[in-house]
Amino acid sequence: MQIQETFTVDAPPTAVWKFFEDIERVARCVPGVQSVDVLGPDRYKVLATQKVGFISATFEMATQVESKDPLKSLALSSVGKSVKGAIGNLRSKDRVDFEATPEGGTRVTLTSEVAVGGMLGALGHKAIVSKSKEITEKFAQALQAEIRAGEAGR
Amino acid sequence: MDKLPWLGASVKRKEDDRLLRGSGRFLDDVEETLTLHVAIGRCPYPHARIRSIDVTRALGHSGVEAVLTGQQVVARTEAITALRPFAGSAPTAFYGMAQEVARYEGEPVVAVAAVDRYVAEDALELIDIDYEPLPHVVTVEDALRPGAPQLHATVPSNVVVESTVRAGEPDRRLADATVTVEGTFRINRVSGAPIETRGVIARWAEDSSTLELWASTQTPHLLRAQLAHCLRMDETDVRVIAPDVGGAFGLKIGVYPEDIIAALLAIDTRRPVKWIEDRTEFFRGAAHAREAVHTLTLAADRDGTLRALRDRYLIDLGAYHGPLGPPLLTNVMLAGPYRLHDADIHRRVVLTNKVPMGAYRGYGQAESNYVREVLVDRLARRLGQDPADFRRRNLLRPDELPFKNVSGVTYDSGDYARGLDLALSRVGYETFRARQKESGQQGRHVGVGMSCYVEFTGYPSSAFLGRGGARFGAYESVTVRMDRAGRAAISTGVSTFGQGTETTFAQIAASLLGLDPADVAIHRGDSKGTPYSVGGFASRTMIAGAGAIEKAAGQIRDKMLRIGGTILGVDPAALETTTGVVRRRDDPSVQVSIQRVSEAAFLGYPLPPGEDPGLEATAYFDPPSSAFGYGTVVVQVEVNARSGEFALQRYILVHDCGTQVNPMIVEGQVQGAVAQGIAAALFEELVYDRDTGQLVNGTMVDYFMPTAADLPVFELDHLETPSPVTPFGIKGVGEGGTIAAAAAITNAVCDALAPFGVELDRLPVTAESIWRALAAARAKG
Repeated sequence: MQIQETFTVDAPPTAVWKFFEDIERVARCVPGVQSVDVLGPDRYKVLATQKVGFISATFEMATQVESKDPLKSLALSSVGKSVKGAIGNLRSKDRVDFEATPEGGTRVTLTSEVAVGGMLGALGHKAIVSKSKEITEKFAQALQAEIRAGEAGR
Repeated sequence: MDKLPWLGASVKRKEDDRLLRGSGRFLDDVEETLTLHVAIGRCPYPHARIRSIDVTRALGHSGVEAVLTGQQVVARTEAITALRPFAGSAPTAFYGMAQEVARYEGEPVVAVAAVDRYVAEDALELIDIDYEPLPHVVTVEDALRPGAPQLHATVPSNVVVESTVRAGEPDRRLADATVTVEGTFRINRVSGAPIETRGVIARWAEDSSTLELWASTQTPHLLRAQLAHCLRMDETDVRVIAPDVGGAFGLKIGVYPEDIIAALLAIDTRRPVKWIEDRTEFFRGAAHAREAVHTLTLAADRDGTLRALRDRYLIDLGAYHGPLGPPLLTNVMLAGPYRLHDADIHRRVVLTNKVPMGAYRGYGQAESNYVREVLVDRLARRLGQDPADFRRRNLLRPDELPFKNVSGVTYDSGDYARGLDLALSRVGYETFRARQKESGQQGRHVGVGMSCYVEFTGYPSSAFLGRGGARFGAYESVTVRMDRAGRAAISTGVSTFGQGTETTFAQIAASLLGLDPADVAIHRGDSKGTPYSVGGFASRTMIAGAGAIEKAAGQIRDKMLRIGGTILGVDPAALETTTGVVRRRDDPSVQVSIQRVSEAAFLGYPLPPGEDPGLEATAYFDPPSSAFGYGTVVVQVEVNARSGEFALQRYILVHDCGTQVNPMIVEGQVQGAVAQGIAAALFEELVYDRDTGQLVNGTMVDYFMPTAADLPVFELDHLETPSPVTPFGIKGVGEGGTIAAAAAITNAVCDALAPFGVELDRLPVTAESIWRALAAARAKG
């Protein structure tokens, strides 16, 4: 299933891009992410717990940065399976596009092609899409705060 | 025979006394002490190699008593057998658990027995399984492509069965016909979705080295036979008990993997083991049904005489051939109620990485009715004929019955056109076309659709089934025993799953024995203490069961007359049984109560010389023929030609199920079946994602099973043509309501949108599918 979410950050693309280069920092902003381990250049192990309705699952994912087009876009891919909670697996291809807004901010567009397998996958797209919207909204807020905090600390 | 006082009476259902009081006992109500609870780990991929399973941490988890893996299951059991193996079909080694390769998302790969379900579910999370995902297929077309992923090494083509039925000279007829129409139709994958999911309790009886299995099943004896085979046990050492069953609809026939899993865990732990299916497991484990793709051709002469039928169809079997597998009746009933002598039917049963297919109410008949009746309407439109006139011309007349159809089964009796006419009169069809035109001028698109069916009920003898290789018979059996108080008890292997058998069996027995149905107790659903039984499916129980009761009760009645004769000092030939007494036919004042007669049989005196004590008889009845019900559904809809939204304004079913044993139960059966027919026609579809192979709507939130509020009012009418070939003229009735729904609704929508040239060719019929068809029709101009 494809999920697309767009939000705007009050910071120029240079600042946003810099933030996205630091995957561990990005991960801190994603709700449910418990840990990020660096496996190699542009390769990470991510542990995250998500709850959809009454079902929760902790996924262990191998995430790979597939391509980078500085200030413009970033592509990632992840493969993982649940290690706790509902038995299932997950594949996703994610793309993040950055676009400067006339107001000096950055429009960030997340496009994910997600495949959820196992019991979670049978739950239906509606539940998963609404969950991903919720995650994206929280991520956008956290990202905004993180960038502001980063700038303030400079 | 004397008249049967309780035949045709709307006796209140005996089973409702306990069910309505909340005293019914369903599987999960049975809880033995020290029961362990099972959680089943299911493969989260549509197709995957299991590289390794590490259960160490689960075994060490507090409260876990046993863990079972596929390797153990395959080593300790035989594969699940088909109840109806097809000649030449390739085996699809179907075990209680996947060993090396799992072939559908949801297939059991590991199981835990623990002190409660919570602990068992927690322990599942501690099991580390290394899967290697394999390429998958979830459509029949993909499965047939060259180079498609192969599910079973034994079936390189992914085609498990391929078969052809030919009658007459279909090729010549098709070539010579004035008009031919062809259509490709997609039938949705649906589920019978009983309110009570599946469940099983297995108990190993250490004292007798026997296995006792409580199961939510409609076939206790067939389950026992299959289970004993799988477990390599003697059938006598296995007892299967079905308590109250909360709906079955065909999907609770025969053995399931979970039955085997529970049995093995019970044997391993020496404790009762319980597994109750939760709803997410249900959608990914209990049999799915119906899915098929048909390409049907019909040929007719200019005057509208139907000449020939050709069908090329694919059944989506899922990953394994389960106990029942693909429907047979699609082939058998494709020609329907029409005068057709020439047909060419070719089917292929195709493997996909999906839940194995099984039976569902209307099994094969709903499918064939949909494709034929929708194409009949197209043919009528092509000929410029009214669809009702076209049908009337081609429906078999009563004087043409019995009629052997192109697939070789013989329709026994009925007045098909009368059913059609009655249904049409209910909707005021003679004036409808004028009204339709008027509505059209106001921009409202109203349509009437109809669908005629003839319904196969009961099997025409065990020998008939045997010719197809079936591993079960057509018979049913009972033991009838009179107790000392003069009440009767019937023991039957048929379980109670909503079909009303407890009441209807009692009505037949009471009628024959001279009792009130309240004085007939039913012991049911337990393989121990009941004669070999086939079980409740294929609309056969009432036909076969009535025959068995007739024989057993007849023997008891004759013996009561002999004993009564001795007590009264009267020749038994002068006696009859009625309302609790044995009496002289010509002088009712000379009588003795059945209670007294029964007591004599119990005490052993006074009896006629040489007569054995006891009033008990066991009888089997093997029906010599099937009985064919029939009917017509007429639907009126109004469709919004812009959005595709529509309303079912009228839903009329006229049907004939022969002699009605209990009209109230018939009505209930028909209502329930109509609801399921409409559900599959309008709402339900199990959707698999082609890319991921995942079932994406496996919950009641996403699978749109309708409630009463979603359904129209059904208008039902009954005709009654007693069958000449069955006991008491009974025909089966449980399935009929499902058969004609999809075609009648489709035809009504197409009729409403005829000015736009809209044709629908897939199920379910939804606002979206209509909107797409409208767009396609507009694009075609």
